[in-house]
Amino acid sequence: MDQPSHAPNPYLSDPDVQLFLEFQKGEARAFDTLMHKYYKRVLNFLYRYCADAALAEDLTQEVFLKVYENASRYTPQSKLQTWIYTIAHNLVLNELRTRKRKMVSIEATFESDDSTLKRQFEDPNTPSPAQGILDEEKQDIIRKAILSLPENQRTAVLLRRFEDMSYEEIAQAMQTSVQAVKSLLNRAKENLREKLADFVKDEKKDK
Amino acid sequence: MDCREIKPLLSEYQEGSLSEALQASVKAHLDGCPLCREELQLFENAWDMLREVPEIEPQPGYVGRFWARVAERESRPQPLTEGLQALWGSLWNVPALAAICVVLVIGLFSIRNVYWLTRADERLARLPLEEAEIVENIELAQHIEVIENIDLLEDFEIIENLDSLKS
Repeated sequence: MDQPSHAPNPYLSDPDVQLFLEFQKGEARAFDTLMHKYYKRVLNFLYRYCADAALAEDLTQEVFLKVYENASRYTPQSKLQTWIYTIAHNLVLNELRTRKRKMVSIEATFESDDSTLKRQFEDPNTPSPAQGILDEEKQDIIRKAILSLPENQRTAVLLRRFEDMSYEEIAQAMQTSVQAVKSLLNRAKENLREKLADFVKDEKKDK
Repeated sequence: MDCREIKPLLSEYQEGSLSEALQASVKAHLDGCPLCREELQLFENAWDMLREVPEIEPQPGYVGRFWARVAERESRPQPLTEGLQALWGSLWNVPALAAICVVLVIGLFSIRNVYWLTRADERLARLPLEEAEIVENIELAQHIEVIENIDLLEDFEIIENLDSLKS
């Protein structure tokens, strides 16, 4: 009696994988559809990662160029979005490491801004964070808190919080284990809680 | 479970991704521990706050820009390294590649041997007469053992001839 030798590939049920397979067969419009679906998401992932809109835009174009150029090598071993974010993650890491020597350390920038902020809080003449700091400034602090995370923690947070990826998908995109992802997320959350301490306490009062 | 054990589990508890039993244990601890409850609340607030950063929009015309970059890259002449990589990619699994390697190695050895033999003859031809004689003597010295044995063989021949005369 014939026994099925292989379980069916679960990723073939991913509609994006189906679209990409159509593109591999020569259906160019399938690529446009995928680009429309993912472009803004990848752009924002990269923007949150590097806080530089122009660089994020340029890298997003590079991500899709890589996807396009490597299309023939793709096999459905993961969801399509996992593959796209793996490329995005590798590209932004390479770019930031290349630029690192030329740039002032992001952590140092954050720390200096943080201390300025703390001095503001401690000054009785300045209003409390809840009253005085505009939304835009608060957003800036949050951006810097994300930037201050070590690279791997930052990737894990962005993929989990903004892309709603599972631990398994994040592990695939980051080429690491599920346990490592859990540990990265736990440490990242502790770091964020510390960096945003003044705000999170304030949020609590508001609730 | 004490507070120290709870702390590393708060992230997963918050996301509801612990096993059922562990989720229940953490909850039981949190119900009786205001400090850990506050810690969890701060975790959740920080996590929620991340979404307050607004998204950016792609620059208009990004699709056109993308296809222009594709066209620009495809019209660019392929760098040598990429060409070699492509060649390698198309050959790496072909047995002919192994045959090419063998032929190359044999060819290189043959060329090398012919080169050295030719050079040795040329050098010899260029030597002055006296030096050429010395070289010949050296060759003679190298074969002295054989030459001595020739004398010995000649002696054997004479003995044999004597025997035949006796008979």
